[in-house]
Amino acid sequence: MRHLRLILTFYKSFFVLSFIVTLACLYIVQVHGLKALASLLGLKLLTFGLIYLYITSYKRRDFFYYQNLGMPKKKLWFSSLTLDIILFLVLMIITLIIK
Amino acid sequence: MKHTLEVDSVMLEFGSKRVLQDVYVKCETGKITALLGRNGTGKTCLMNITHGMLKTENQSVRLDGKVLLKSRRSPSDILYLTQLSYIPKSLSLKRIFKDFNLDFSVFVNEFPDLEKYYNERIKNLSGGERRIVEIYLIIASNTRFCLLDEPFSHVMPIHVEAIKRLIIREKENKGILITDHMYEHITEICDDLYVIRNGKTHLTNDIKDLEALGYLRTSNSEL
Repeated sequence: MRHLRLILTFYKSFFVLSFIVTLACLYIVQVHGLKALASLLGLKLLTFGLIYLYITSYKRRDFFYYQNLGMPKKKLWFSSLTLDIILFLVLMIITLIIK
Repeated sequence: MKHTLEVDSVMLEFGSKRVLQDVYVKCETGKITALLGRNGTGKTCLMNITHGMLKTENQSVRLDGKVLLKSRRSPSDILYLTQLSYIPKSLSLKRIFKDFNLDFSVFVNEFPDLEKYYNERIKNLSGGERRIVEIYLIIASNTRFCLLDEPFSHVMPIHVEAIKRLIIREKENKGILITDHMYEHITEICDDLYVIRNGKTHLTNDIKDLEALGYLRTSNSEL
């Protein structure tokens, strides 16, 4: 339970930026259809890269908090990015069904 | 149960500069082991190596004689108070104490001034108050060893005394490796004192050794 709480806390630290990009992607799919999907996945990957740079540059000290609680960096990144991708895919499927 | 944490065979270089080369530090349950040295002598690097976050070509970190090969340390083995703030600013004290499984009321007994901040986010505390919370989390948690890098920085004298009492009390259950430039406090509470000079650790016997190793210059030695 504590580990899940820590993952969600870490995810929250970049959720807003990531969600804005996800919403932008959904809008583009709504307008241009599935042909834009490959480019949007690229955009999403680029966003992950920027988020990684931002967190490791400006919030790297926070990792000690998680490490002192037994949560390694790799697990934090893997879990929160997985959550983000799942959210992206679920919203994308819903958008395509509505469309 | 008594545990030992040992670090030796460390070779650390940054470019052509050799920072650490002949190191031996031993920390035991029930003891406060101090590490002093001039700025840039590698105290924090040695802490980082002990905690596993800095890898060097040569190093041996052993817990109860068993070499720790992975860079990951279990919180039940070692907790690390870094020199700079490590708590995410968005978290409240309530949440932080819950994460570390610590009782806030016990903390308030030691530091009653901070009771009012229970529901506050850590970013709303002053630098000194934040430092107290950070130190307390590491020292009071259930672990075998605590690494404390500059615990007294930014902390006002009355709280420094409280922290010293806390460290002395907690050493009964764990080993503590500490470094800080406020050497009077360090020498007062430590059981073993190492000085790093020219990349080597020197186990000292008394304050005269600090002068001999170039860490201190007393008024007498200036004359």
